[in-house]
Amino acid sequence: MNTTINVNLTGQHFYFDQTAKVKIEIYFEEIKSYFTNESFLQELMTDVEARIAELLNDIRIDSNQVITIQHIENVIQIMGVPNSFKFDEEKTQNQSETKAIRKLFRDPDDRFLGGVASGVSNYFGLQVSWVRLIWLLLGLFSWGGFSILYIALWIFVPIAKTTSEKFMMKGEPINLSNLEKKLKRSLKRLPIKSKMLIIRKLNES
Amino acid sequence: MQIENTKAQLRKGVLELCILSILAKERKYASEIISHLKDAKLIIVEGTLYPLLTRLRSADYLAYEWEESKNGPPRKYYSITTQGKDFLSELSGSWNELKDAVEQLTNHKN
Repeated sequence: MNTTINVNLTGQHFYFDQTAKVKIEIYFEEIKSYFTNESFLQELMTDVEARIAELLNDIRIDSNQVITIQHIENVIQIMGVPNSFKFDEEKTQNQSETKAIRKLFRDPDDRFLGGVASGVSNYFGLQVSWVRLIWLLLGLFSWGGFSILYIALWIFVPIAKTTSEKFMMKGEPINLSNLEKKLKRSLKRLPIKSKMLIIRKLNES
Repeated sequence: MQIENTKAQLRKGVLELCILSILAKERKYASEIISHLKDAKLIIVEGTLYPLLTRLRSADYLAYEWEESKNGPPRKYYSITTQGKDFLSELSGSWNELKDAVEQLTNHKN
């Protein structure tokens, strides 16, 4: 039995199986990593997504067909490996090595309420349990005044949605080896059977 | 020394010139530009084109507009701007110089 996931590519709806989704996510992240400093990153990714949606639409027989890793590989064959998006070898390589931006995000993977404490702990490199304790104490001693700050942070600090945002949240550079680590970490949470399947398929490709 | 890589770099160098020339005739959407470039064997994979298009667009050499298509989602039509035309004539100037220079050096027989 396999789980399928709803994927939205520039407004078009697709059913992906797990391996296909992981594969396309890594593909997008790798392309992004070459252009993170460019102002046109968002525009570029939308165009690439739109083209991939177009290609997948041509490939699938009807809109209910599940996209598998085979389909994604066919698409990558047409689009080219992430490397072929690069303008010029040396410049972009340096960029991806040095780039480690730290930004405040709420952590969706470790949350008690809004993921504010875990976000703050990621940002300052503190243990999340300490931040939560301090939060609680401040909340009690200020007679709830501090919870207003908490709520304000909850509202104004964005949640880390994409893989790159999660890297920025922890101040880790976005590169392939980190992406692989992240992938293995997220695999741990899956049931053992699908984990084996994904690892096998990724090794095949 | 990777021959394929050198070849790819050579092609990439003239791609911007070719994209602008294609669009100088009429506006086109990405897939049309791709098929022109593929026919001319200038690109092998599509990925090469997209960053170039967005870069030329963010430098205001290209502009785009959305248009509904009969089948499928709306299409993004690219067209050349006035600055783009100036840039194109500059690029073709240096391309001609380069072409002559290379021809002279590679074909010259004493």
